[in-house]
Amino acid sequence: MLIIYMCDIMSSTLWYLYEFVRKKRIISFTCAKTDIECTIPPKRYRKVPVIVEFPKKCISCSACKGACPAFAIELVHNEEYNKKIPVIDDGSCITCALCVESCPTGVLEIGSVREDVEGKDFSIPKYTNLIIDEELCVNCSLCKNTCPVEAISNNERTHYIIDSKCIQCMRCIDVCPVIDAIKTYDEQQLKEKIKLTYDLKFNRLNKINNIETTDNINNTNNEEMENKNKNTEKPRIVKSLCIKCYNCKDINLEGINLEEYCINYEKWNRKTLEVCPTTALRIGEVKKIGKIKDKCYVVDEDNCIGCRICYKVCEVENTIEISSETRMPYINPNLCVRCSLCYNECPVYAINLESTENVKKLYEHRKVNNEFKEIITNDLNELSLKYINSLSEIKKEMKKLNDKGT
Amino acid sequence: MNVVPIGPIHPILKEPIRLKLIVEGEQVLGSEVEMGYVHRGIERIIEGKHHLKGIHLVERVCGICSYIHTYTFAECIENYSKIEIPDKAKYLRVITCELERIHSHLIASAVYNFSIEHETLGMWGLNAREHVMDLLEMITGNRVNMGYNLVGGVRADINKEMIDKIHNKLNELRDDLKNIVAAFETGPLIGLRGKGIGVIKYKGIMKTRAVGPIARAAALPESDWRLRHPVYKTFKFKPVWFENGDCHDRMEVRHHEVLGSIDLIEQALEAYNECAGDVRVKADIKGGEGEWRNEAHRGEVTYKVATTNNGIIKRILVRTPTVMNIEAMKIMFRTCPTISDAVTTYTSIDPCVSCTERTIILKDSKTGKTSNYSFNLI
Amino acid sequence: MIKEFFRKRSLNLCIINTGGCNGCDIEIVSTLAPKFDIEQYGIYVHNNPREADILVITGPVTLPWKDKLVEIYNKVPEPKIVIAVGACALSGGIFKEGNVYAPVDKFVHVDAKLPGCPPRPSEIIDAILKIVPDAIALREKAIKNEEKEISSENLN
Repeated sequence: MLIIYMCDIMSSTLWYLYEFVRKKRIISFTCAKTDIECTIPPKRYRKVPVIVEFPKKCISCSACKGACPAFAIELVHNEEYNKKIPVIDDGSCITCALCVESCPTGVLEIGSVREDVEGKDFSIPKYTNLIIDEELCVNCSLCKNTCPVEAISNNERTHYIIDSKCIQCMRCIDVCPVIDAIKTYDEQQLKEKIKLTYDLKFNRLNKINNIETTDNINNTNNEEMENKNKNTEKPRIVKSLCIKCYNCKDINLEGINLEEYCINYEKWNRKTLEVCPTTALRIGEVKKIGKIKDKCYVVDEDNCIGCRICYKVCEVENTIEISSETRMPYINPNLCVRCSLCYNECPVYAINLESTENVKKLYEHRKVNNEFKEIITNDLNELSLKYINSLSEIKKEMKKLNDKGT
Repeated sequence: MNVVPIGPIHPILKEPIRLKLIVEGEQVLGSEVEMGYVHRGIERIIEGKHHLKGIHLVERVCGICSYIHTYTFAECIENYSKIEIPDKAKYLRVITCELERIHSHLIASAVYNFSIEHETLGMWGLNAREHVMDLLEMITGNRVNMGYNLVGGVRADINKEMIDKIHNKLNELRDDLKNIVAAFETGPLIGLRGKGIGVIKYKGIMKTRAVGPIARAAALPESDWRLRHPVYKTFKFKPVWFENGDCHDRMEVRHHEVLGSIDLIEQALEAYNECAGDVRVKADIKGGEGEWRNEAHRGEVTYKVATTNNGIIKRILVRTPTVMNIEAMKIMFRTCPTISDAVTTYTSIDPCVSCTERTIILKDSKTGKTSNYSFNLI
Repeated sequence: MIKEFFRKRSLNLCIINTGGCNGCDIEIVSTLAPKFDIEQYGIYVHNNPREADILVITGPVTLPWKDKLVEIYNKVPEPKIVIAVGACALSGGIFKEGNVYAPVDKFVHVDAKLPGCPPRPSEIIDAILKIVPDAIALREKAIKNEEKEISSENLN
């Protein structure tokens, strides 16, 4: 046993000495150097930071700024190209390459990402999300024509935004004529609403175990029942604004059905209105208010041919009315939102843009004339009815007298 | 009774954790674990973000097992939204996942060998791992924190040059690994330091609910969650298991699993060659919530995700395997004769502290009271 | 024997992980592999702050590390230099909105910065070799000038 053990040790020491004396080991022992091969990275390696390769193609849309998860990109005005160009902070970049894939014109580059992902499906991450309200949209299609990536399309009732293509450049909001028809919600607002939901939900569960505070819930329910009996305002859900976040259902488990968008009014709790991030749960009416206040559209009565296309196309109720005196349409400047649908559809270009005061004077004139004419026609109709009734009675009396006489 | 602290900075620890060992003479009686050095609040940061930003956040839960976290996250969302991904993407995901499993097991083996003071085997392990890191960098673009997964597929494709290089490097890795396994099994000093130390058997595992290679070293082969996954079911593979339940066997399980993963990669490459088409598909995410489980390198990992209609994350829950594995240490310390054996036992369970730093709240089922979880292991 | 002889004469390096995800730590540990081989230049990776010459700090600074980082920095003997590695140590990285108090600049004095998430091992060796000899020489000069000023003040 001992002899075999000694032979083992001898052979391993001899093997070690043999390996040490080789020329390759002596050279690398005396002169320390790393292999050049391991310092050259492969083709797909992403080295920090991201490079702005084609600044001339940039359209300053800030899609890269919204897509970065580490807040490393800022848009700064550049003197040479006379527009805003992205500037990237070295210390924050994590080389995820989300900004490279989100850019619509191909300005940024890192490694060989652009070559590998050409033409593939990608849903663009954003900081601010946009959504169109169907109760306020007037279907004027101004947003659809301005969008640089063709992310808006329409069905019969309303227009809608395709979320995976939108780049949050906000040009549609600048062009839309109605205030607040395109609503925004960003990450900070969503975090606050989610925190509020879970505070309400778990405090409520604790309150059921405690005796004092169940009285509060009962009291609020009684107040609500009294209010409901007084005025018949019922809450409703707007389909195109609902993003199915189930915040309302977390608080109010039995009162809301999100598959068919209907509400059970007996189990309704008023706090559910505060929790929706896009105001899809509403009570009461919403009004369409225009942004432009100093100018308004007016019908030129010399050129109008009376086809009434503008009357049929306008989406805001009671804005264009037909005057019974002249048989031509006239526009109400208090309700018009200046969406320019009638302006584009008129076949003889008879609608013009003028200052609001002139339009108001014309509108008052037309309206007063219209009312006056209505009063006169009503009176005439009444009097002629009375005249015909009394004439027929007189004829009957005359006939009776004649019959009596003979 | 004295207290010996193994503090946040120690030559053998990779991550900050404080272990207080209660000793009498040289024998270890028990310990207390103090955590909280790595808590960053990831589950609160991710509320309200888009799902693609969420993938890059979930990757950085842990740097060693970063791919398996994105794999489980993407599969959870695809499961409840009913999205079908193309066949090429399924096999590419399996190839990258198994490559990362090899790299994680080799680092665990190297750190264990450094703690036994056998530096030669540690250096051999680190050198063999470099073949795998070259392959990962060639396919995905980065060595760790790769950013290769999306909801709906994978980011880029591989071509014929890369497939030939994968085959060559895997053959070199197999030769290197056979030397390491032979030296580990027949070396006399390694057996003395490892056999019969830190023993945990079937009853102990059922009591503390340990998972992963710890369970498989104590004769429980059904704990491998790859047997229930829909893509892995189509391959031929058997889980590895041993009987004794000590430090030596846990390392043996890891070495043999590396050899099993090399076979799985070759089967997946053959299946990939017969597919055609694109690697991504358009992702239409529905509002709702779901749950998914997977076999990570250290055990079984669970994810629960809730999203809205256009892909914004509302809430997330992560439960990682090291939470249960650290509990199993209290049974292992009963058979540790010295303090340096206690350090060796700690490195043999392969702890990953940055996976574990979530807040855990316990609820007593009888009284209904809630309290925070504290790791007292006496 | 030969190992101990050479290790007593090398630069000591200490890694401090203030709450990171471990990606940067793994890249520093894998420089020990014979392919990259940081030990051939005379640098010994041994996590003992009492004997360290170079401090490598990774990770965003979390709540328990706020006062401990300054304590450990004061215990390291002079001359010492500090290198901050990774995106988390430079500006907080992706965890800016969480429970962190980044960057490391606010707590200790930093000599060199390495961006990347994580940087490759060849880039780490490159940075250490270029910076360390000159930085240690400058630091020794600065300390000697301070001592001369203090002793001249005492005499006066």
